[in-house]
Amino acid sequence: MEMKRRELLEKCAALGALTIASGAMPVAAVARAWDDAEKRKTPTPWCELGPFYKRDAPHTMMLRGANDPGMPLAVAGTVYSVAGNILQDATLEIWQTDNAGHYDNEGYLYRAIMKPDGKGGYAFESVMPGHYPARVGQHVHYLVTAPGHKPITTQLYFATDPVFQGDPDKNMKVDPLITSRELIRPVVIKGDPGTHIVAAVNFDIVLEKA
Amino acid sequence: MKRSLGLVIALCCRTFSGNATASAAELKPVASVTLPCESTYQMISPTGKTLAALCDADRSLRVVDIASGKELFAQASDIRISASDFSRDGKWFAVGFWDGTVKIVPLAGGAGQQWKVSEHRIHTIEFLRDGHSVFIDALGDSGQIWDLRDTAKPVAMLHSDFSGPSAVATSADGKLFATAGGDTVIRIYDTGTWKMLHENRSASKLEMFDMDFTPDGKYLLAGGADDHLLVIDPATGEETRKLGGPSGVIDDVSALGDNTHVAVEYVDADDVNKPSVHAIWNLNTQKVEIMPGLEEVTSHRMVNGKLWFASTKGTALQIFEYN
Repeated sequence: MEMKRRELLEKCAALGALTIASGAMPVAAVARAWDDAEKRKTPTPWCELGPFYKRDAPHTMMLRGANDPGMPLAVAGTVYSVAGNILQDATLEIWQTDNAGHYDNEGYLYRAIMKPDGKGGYAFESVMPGHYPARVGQHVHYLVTAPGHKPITTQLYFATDPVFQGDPDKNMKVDPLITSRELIRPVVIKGDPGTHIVAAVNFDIVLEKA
Repeated sequence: MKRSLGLVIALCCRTFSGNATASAAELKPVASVTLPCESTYQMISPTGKTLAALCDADRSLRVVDIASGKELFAQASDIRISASDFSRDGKWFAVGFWDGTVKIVPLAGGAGQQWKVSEHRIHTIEFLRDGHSVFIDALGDSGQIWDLRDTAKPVAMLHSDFSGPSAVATSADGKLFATAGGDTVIRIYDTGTWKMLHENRSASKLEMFDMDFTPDGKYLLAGGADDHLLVIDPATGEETRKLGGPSGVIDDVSALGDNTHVAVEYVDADDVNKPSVHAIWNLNTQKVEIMPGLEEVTSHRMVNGKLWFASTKGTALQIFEYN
């Protein structure tokens, strides 16, 4: 069984293997600080908002209709603070094109607002967004806000996007708006090829304190 | 009137073509010039004496004197150019870069200023009417007002909920400054104090791309992704009218000098290679007319209250005035 840092520190201190100088933090506090440092997360890279954010999207986790064309897409993740705590009170706004690369500016197709669950998790179902002439890569837009934290706009990209030619590390620059390799996420195909498959992607969000 | 290359960058190399028959009576040739390079995007200065051409081949930016064709300034694209503007008197030129740097140069020659504003791409630069201040929007940051006297220094930060105010306009008397952008909120500021006077959160649900005041200051006009031209009362910040006409994303709004007509450019968001539609709204009758076309419209600008269009073939550029 793996021993936690704090337990290890406390055992070491008890056995005299670790000396805490007089006047310094107690072992428990050192252990806590160590744990906190280990929990810390790097903020999600920023990516520009545009185009075509629309306010007041519907609250839903299901962005696709039953007969919508395109590869079904399931995105899930957790919203954290940089301290590594889950942010249940965050709000995620998501928007993307349909599989033909069309944004719905008149209505709210492929647009949603959602709140994380009790564990900070969020999930939505959609279709793989299409390419369109003004942008190179397939992407899903995110605007994530949480009380006491800086709002972030970012974009989720897909490692399977043909524009990366199978090598996002080498070819991410084909889309000049991609600010970080971290935003290009692996895609796992799940389901039964005979009946229903879905492209599953994990994308955690980490917000900085305001 | 737009001061960013945002859509040009996003859309890459689209060409503009008129979609209706040109009328000789309505389009009067006013100038022609040979450009230093082939260019599908130019910016005419507010004085009508100079223009900046973004070169297709190497993406450098060249400022030329329209009368003589003489090159006054050249900016290489070793760092990608993302925004530019002329000062109102045409004496200064500002360039914004992809890496968040801004450069201001005097077109008569001499030392300019260059400094880093942000880690993000400069999306919009606009000189204010006071002759010594400039608005800068770096994507994702608050809007910034910089005083250019001596060494550039920041004098105000203009808030947005997120994303930054990318569409801006100054009233003709220079007293009001309006912002809008990705957060869909229109804000109006007093340029004397930079205090926000009005905030309108209900006029649009989609992001806005451009705005302009009528010269008499009676109306603030704004347009963006929802394809309606918003008419705002600057005294209250309230919407007075919403004009729906041609479909498409509104990419440019320019009030004409008669305080009645507004030139609006509509772009097809689904197919940016389609010709954009140039239309003229009459604020009194609330009617719209599609502009007569040109072979290849590569730029337009309000010059002394008149709407100028530029059209290029190769390196030959012609400028027409719409009457």
